Amino acid sequence: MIEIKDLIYQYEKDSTNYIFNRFSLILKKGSFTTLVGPIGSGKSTLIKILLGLIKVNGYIKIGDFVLCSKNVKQIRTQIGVVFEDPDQVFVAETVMDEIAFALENQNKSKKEIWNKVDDIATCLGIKHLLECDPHTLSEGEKRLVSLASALVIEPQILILDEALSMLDEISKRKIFRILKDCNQKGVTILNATHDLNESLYGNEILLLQNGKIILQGTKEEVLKQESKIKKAGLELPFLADLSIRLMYYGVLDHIILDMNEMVDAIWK
Amino acid sequence: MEIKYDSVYYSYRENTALEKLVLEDINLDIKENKINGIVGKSGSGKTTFLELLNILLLPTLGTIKIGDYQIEKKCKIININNLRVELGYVFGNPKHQFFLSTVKEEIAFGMKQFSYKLDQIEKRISDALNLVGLDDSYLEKDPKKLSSGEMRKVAIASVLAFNPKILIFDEPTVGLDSISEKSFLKMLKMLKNKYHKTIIIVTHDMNMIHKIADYLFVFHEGKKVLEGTKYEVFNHELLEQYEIVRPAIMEFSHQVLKKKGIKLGYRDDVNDLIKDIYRHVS
Amino acid sequence: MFHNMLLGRYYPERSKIHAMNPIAKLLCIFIFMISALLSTSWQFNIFLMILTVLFLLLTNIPLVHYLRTTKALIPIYMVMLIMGILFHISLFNSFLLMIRITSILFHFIMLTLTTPMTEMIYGFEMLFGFLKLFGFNVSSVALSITETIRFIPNLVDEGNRILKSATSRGIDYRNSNIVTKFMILKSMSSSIFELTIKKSEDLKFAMSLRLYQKGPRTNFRMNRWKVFDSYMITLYLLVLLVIIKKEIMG
Repeated sequence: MIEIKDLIYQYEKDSTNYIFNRFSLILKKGSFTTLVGPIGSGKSTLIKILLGLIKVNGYIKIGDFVLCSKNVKQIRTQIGVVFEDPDQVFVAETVMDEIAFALENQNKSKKEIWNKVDDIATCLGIKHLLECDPHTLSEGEKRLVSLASALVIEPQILILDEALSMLDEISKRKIFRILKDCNQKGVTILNATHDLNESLYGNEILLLQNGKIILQGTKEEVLKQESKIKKAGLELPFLADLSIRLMYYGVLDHIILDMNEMVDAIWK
Repeated sequence: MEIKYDSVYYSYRENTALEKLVLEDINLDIKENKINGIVGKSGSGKTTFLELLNILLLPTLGTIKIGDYQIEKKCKIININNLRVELGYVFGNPKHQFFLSTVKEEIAFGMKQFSYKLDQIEKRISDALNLVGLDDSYLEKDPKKLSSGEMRKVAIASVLAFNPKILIFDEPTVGLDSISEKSFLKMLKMLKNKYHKTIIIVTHDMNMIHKIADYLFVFHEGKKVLEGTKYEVFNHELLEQYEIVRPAIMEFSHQVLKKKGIKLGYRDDVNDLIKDIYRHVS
Repeated sequence: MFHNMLLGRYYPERSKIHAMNPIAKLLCIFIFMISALLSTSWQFNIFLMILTVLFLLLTNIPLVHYLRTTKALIPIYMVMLIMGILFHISLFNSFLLMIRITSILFHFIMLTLTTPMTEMIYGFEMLFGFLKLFGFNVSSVALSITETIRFIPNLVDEGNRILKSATSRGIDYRNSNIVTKFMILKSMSSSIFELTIKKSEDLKFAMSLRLYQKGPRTNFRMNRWKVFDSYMITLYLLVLLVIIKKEIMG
């Protein structure tokens, strides 16, 4: 779905301070990847590059399109983004207008817009909020509205940029359930975060540090690599930490990331 | 310095069509010289609780006692700055706290309002920066252009500068990576033990509060529903009802007890937990 | 702290006025402005004010909000009275002028409280659409006007936020006299503007990311023309005609 080859990007032209130096990446269609890395690893920069906000050298293919200045707008119709601070990106005075905004810009018909807004609001359980001012909602509700605005354009790729850091655990789980649904319907998801606990809700993990890929694979494969994760300054999720230690003592033979499974595996 | 909430209610936009009861019948005592955690899901009234504590709002009903002062709806406090100097409120989003153009001015601001002498101010600015782990090179920088970890440190420094007895943090670790979080928690422990501050933290991050809190208050839909040590609170059967998720390590012990009837004890450290498991498995 | 319910902010509620077509609302205000400016006799002034209040009641928004404007306008009223005395306008006529201006202002507030921005843009574009023939870029003008109106609550929000931060570190705004208040506001004004401008830029960025472009776009609000809209316009026109007949033709 996303293919990057030999990406080169520096802060200033001709400086030796490279953010990305011949960086390559492949993200498969239908994957649900958690992008993790310490501050300064290049996560947010990578997202800005994918959205066509930064000019770089290199080959970037998103879906069927190769990224260039001519088709940036076309590509943006394929990507939905949810940002860390929804307040900064709300453009309308009612939730209904907010969700419809992107569709209006694409010149869809009124009837189509009404139907799509209604559908997505029902799907995410925010139909009762349609007439409200998005700024007056709770943090969880704001993110649902942001998510609705991103999903209503039926994107092929959904990107979340630290979108869930302000949420409590219950609201997070609610949103991840929705994301899982979307992923099963074929949407490729990339969740950028520095909380490794969120990776338990996805399928794959991509660990970035100083603009380089340190680890990439399924969560079971990646979370075993304790030393590399600690070196990147990240903290292992509790179940991963426990699994690794129990594997060392011979109590377990593989990494377990589900609480129930763990309890059953220790006391058979 | 005693802090006590006595039957406090707060309504938002009172007497208008948009009136909303945000806090209902809050009764609690903040534990002095300890780290108090206020937890609850978003929207349960925690931030309003803090704004009342910091006298940015007045209660609709009830009384808040801070030291010798009583705060009520229709009170007029003379020399409110004598009280304010003891309350240090660090905002959840440092960008909302900053409005001056250099780090130096931000840190000096509080001291100026509380009538610190000019020669003291210079020295205290450096001391405050050192306390949070930053050096004097930050003095002339624009606080809004720093990284999020540095911004938080400057926000904390500008509050520590006027030496309040009570420190209030609103979601202090959101957006911090684990290294920054560790150094923040270390700093809190020092502030409690070495400087004898009373610390109040409002958060929804159970894993973080579990590492540091001495005492917890649980809020749900505007009411205080539980209080106790972290073991008492996280052990409580009604926790799911209040939409609180236990920290992972305690959830594990809870599941083991529920499913296998084995009491592992609520451990803070994975190593101790492993020893417990070993004992029960063999 | 600052009351910001007034200019610029949409107040969601169910009422006949909220449901009105924005074109009709804009036309009514325009017609009312002409009526108000033409009417000089005190009977008509009182009548216009009563009419305004009746429509305010129709919006289902508590009158308290509208009355708060008058409180904020007191300094302006003072200035008008002084000017009136200086230019030998009778106190009575100054008072009538105040009533007329207040009723026009109430209409504007009613508009911003009952019309979300997208509807207002739609209304402006429809009404002044004929200007496109003369080369005016109606869409962007409409957007600029509505953006300006929306700017005000953002300014107030930023002001409140900064005030909170300053208060928690020792500024006692509420209990200080007007001179101190002014000085506090002055020192914070540059930050307030800076932050608000940044917010507008963030908004522009967000809009471009979602492919907003100047030019034709759908406005999905189904703005049907209802009987009530015709009824209101007719009513305002009648009032105007009566005023013209009495004031101009004697």
